[in-house]
Amino acid sequence: MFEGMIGKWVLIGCVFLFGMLIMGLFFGPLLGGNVLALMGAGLAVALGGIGSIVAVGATGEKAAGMTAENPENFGRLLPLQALPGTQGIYGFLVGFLALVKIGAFAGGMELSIAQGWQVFFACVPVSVTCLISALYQGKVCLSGMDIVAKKPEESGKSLILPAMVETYAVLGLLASVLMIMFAVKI
Amino acid sequence: MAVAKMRKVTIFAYEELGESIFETLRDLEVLHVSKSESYDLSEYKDEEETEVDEAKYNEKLSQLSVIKSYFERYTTIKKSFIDMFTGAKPQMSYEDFQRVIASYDVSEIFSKVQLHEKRLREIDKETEQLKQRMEILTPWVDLDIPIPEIRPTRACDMQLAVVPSNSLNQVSKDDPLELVHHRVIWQEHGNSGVWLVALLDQEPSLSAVVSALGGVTVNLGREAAEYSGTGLVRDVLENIDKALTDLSGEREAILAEDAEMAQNLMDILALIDYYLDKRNLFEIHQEVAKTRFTLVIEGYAREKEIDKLRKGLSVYKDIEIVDEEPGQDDDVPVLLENNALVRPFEFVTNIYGYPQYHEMDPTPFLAPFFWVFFAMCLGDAVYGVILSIFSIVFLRTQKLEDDKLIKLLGYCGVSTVFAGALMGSWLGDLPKTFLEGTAFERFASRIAILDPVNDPITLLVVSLGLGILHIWVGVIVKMIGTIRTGAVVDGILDHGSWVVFLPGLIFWAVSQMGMIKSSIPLYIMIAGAVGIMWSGARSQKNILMKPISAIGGFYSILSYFSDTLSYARILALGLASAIIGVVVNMVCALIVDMVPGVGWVFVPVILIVGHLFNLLINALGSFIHSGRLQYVEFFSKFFEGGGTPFRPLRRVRKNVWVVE
Repeated sequence: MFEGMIGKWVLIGCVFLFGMLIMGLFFGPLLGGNVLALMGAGLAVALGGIGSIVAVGATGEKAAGMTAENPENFGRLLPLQALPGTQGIYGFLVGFLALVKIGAFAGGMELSIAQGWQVFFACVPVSVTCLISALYQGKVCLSGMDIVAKKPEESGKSLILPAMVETYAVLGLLASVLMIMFAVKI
Repeated sequence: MAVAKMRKVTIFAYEELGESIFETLRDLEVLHVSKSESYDLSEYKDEEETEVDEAKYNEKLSQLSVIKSYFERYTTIKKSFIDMFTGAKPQMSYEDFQRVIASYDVSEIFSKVQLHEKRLREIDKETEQLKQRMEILTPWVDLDIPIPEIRPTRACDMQLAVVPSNSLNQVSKDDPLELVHHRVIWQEHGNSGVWLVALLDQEPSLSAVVSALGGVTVNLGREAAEYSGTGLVRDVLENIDKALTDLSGEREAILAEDAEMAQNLMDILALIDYYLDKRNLFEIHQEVAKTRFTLVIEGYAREKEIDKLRKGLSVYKDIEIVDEEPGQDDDVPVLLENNALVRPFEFVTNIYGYPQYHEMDPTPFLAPFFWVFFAMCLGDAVYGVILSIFSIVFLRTQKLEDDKLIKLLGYCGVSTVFAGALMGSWLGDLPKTFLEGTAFERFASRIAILDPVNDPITLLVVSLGLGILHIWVGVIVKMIGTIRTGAVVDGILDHGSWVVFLPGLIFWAVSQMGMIKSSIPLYIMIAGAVGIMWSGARSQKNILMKPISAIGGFYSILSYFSDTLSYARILALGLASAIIGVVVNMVCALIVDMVPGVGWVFVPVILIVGHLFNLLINALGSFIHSGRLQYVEFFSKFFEGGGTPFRPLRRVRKNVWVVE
């Protein structure tokens, strides 16, 4: 069931992204630079979060069912469930860095519209890569659980295959972090 | 190198000794029995008894599994939370194990269990029925006429009925019904239970009167039949009550007996292992080459353990053991042999697979890189200390079948301490947040030479640099491997040129940026490039195409480039763990500021929970990504894999661990 839902969640992510873009385009001058930056930070947390929630939920469901069948597998299944959870953390991380960048913890500052957009776009890579990679990594994890079920002694292999998908979330994270730290001029 | 030397072993023996020989081999745990290829004796095979024996073990196993699931309703083998991760098995002494095997009659227990199970079901069903009857009878408890007497006599019709209470009033008033005598036995929820008597030949009949009143007649005959006695409702109820008490007593007795039997669940688990082992030996026995009277067991044993094998089998007089060097075409099982420092890293190799017997073991090569990569990804000194302490405590307190992973974490904990200290990360930026100005903070900031958060570019360069080194070592290993197989020219030209070219290229690029003033890198690079072009041209037969092939040799530079970029993940993961650590500390600082005075109470909780979470999630990520760099970037340079792991014949230990 989860496999069929990936498109839907990606679509929801796009709605988030474009909704914020359009809102910024039309009401940017009204809202001010700070709001644009906050929208970016929120987008990173929300999209990464959505991907991880859906994927961890689906993998957790299967893990629970398999643990009911054979409780011995619990320890092997838990890492597989946790794997697609990292994208949510990456998203949160970028959101947090954006907050630091705009001085949210140091009394705050007034950003120009252009500066606001800079922060917003710096948050986009991690948002999109995390959302999509979490969903697809969840899919690989679900299949990896079959390795655990059929060949428990080979379950180490089931951890490596999902890591291939995560690569792109890591790259998205790196891009966003570098953008926020160096490319955004505030 | 680090792949253990094997000897091919062939044992010739009398078939009648087979079972006993296999048991000895199982206890020795040195021989990897392989499928017989050299001896095809299938035409002499004796087919008669095999099926019977196999069925015997299977029957015992299925009986045991029924017993097991029955017993598990009463008791479970308690497993700690940690054991669920380690897969540790309950232990049993060898004496106990022997006693269990000798004393248990599986069939007897099985039939007892079946009997109990059936009886419990019956009791439940009977109890349910009795309760229903009781429910029906209870309202009529005041009826002082024995139930069997409530039936038509020669002149009268007599019945019990339930009618709506308000319609009952009409009976006395309305004329036509006056002929009916009735007595109300009970009244409840607007209904009344009544006892009715009327003359048999009167019109309308008693049944018609009841239905005219909107009620139904009741026949208690069935409910009371079995518990007759006096036949009075109250006596019947008493009897039913007694029967219920008896049933529940019986049930309790069965449950108590079962609970006591279930205490032996461990024995059942041990028996399951015992029969699994029997079946396993039996199956292997069937697979090896044999005739009616003789038996040929083929397999592999470590060179070191050949003497142990010979000694163990010396109890048999009429047996011939031959050990020889395995041939090129043999599928020799692989056992990795490394010193104590490298052995834990075999865990990383084994996730990918095993090398071929004639291949090199990649473990010693990947070990230092994995050690460093993991440390840089996790990158926090205190996390490293926690990992190492956890590893030591775990190894001390837990008995593990395979302690490689835990040791590996311990080793990587040590490197993480170094990496964390170099990056100035002690539980994130804790020294700066809470220990500003203390000696520790000054010490920590003095040894910190890398700052991933504020100066990630340096760390990126370090990561990519390590990546290039990693790839370069991979190519060197490939070169050595090729030369070892005898293809010296191939090794030097095809791989050696890259070994020369890559550092030349890197240092040339660095010198172009003006950091080194020397033209040596340029010459090295050119030498390597010539080698690459030569090796490219060499493989091309067509003389006109040779220049194109020579240039084409550089194509793989693209893959080296993209492989190198992949090491940027080290920086990204290092940043992730560092920043989450910072976030945890910041939340603590905010709480202290927001809730003056009392805020300090929350600090330890937030610190412990937050950092533990960060440690867990990032240790998982660091492990997986460091592993990936080995499998995808490093192994692709030289490693084939696909060897058969060495699995000596040993006791089946699925459920219990028998200790001598």
